[in-house]
Amino acid sequence: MLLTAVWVTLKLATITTIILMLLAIPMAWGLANMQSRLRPVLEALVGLPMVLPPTVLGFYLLLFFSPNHAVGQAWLSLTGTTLAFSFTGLVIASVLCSMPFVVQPLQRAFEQLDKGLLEAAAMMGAGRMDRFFNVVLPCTRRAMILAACMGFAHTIGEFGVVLMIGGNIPGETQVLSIALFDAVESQQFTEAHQIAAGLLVFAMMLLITLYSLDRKPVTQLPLKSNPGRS
Amino acid sequence: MLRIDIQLPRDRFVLSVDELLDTDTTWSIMGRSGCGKTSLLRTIAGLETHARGLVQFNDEVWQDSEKGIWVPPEQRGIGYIFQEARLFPHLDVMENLQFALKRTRANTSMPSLSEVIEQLDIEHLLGRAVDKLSGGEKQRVAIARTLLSGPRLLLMDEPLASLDWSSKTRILPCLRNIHQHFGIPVVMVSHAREEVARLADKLVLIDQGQVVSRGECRQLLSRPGSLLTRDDCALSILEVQVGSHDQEYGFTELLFGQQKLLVNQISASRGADLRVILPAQEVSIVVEDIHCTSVQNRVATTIQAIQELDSNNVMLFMEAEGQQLLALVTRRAIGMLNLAEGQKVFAHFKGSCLDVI
Repeated sequence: MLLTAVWVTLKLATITTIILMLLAIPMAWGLANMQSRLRPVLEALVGLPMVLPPTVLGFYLLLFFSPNHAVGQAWLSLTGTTLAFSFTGLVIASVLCSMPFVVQPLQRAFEQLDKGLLEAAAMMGAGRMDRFFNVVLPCTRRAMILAACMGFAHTIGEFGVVLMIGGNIPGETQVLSIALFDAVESQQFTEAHQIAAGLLVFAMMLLITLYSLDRKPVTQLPLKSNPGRS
Repeated sequence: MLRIDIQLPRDRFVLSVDELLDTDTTWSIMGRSGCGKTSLLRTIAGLETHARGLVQFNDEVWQDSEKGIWVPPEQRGIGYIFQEARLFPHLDVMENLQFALKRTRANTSMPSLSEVIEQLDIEHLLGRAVDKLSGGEKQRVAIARTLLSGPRLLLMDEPLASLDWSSKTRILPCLRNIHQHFGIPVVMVSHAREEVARLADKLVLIDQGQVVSRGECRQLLSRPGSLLTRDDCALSILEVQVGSHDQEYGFTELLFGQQKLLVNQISASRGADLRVILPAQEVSIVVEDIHCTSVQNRVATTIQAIQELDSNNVMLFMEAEGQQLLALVTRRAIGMLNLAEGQKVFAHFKGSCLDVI
């Protein structure tokens, strides 16, 4: 049962992270380069899950997912299943919950990117896509890794929203954070200890990796130019 | 031929330029900082999205706001050398060059990789990371990268501004070579007369977003009343021919019309046409023909105009052998020597202050 929860958790975090990166990179690029007055509104929307109690988000998602609502109904007629209490529903919820943790570091990195490099690339004949893939992405790869890790870690750490819309179906929607809650409720302290310690060690290791990534590698002092040459 | 007829609103004025530049010489756009010269260059490149009007290179229209034509910068086939090198930090020197090579525009007069590397002397830098380069090295790599992208027109925005003196003296000949060696038309922006005199043949002078004069560098840089002759950086450019070399004393004689100039020995061969830059500050005026002086250069001139710059300094505009010479002297000297327009005087200057280009 514990292993199943580990599997569901990793599967959820991986799929969520992949979807998040695909969505967040264009979103962050758009926000970073947006001149419109709508920008703060969109930024607030993306950042909302950071301040909102996850249960609030879960509550609204539950409403949307219900077959009585247009979204839930459309999904039902399309796939024959309900979104609520399903793994797919969980993925959607996790994507929304973890979005700000991925978009924000990317947006900062895009904002700080020297636009002069893009102009230089354009003057060498590089078009928009070429510039994005061969200048923007490689120049911000540190932020990319950071964003992906944050998304992954935050998805694993999410509890409230999962509880609200996922239910607690082993093998389908029971992730580690819920399994821990369950174990404590049913006084299975050995299992609770295993899960809690496991999550703690994982989180710690991930953060250490992230913070060491954040530092630039120690570089040598720049070589003095040969005085005889100038 | 480069046709520009553009308007670009700036903070305090509207940059408004209507010019036709022939592209068989090197042009310089000059003006004080903030006069709009960089914006003009960026408009030609397509980097100023707010500019309105017409930009046309030969028969290609790059921008025509009335007809809604806009060719994005990457399709204009322009090389742009920025003030800063703007090398890609995630690539090493060779990879930066390859970035340009991979996207090179079909161009018959394309310089080869080995040619560019040799011209800019960057062979020993190829494997280095860009953050391990000095300012001058970075700019040389940036120039090489720009040349390798196969530009049909080269724009340079104060390419030497951020460099120290020794880097400048290394890069200047490289830049001068671009037009001569690779045959690419060049338009550069600068506020330094020294640089312009060395690199450009013609210039457009801009003030407050308007073109105030245009023409040959040699004439504009030493014209009475011009913005360019109002301070101690004024200079004149003299056209000379190489005469004989004197091995014993290590100097070269330059023929300046019927007169002669002496400079430290140069390698140019006899009969070659050269230009020398003579800073106005370095010229002193002698009323009589004195021979007993250590100053080796003595040119007979006629004073054409005397212009007061401030309470202390006066600019003398002189004519010799059909060419213009400037001398910056004090007001006191003018009074003591009783100098007047039309008077014949001798301009003295040391050979070492002449810059042969």
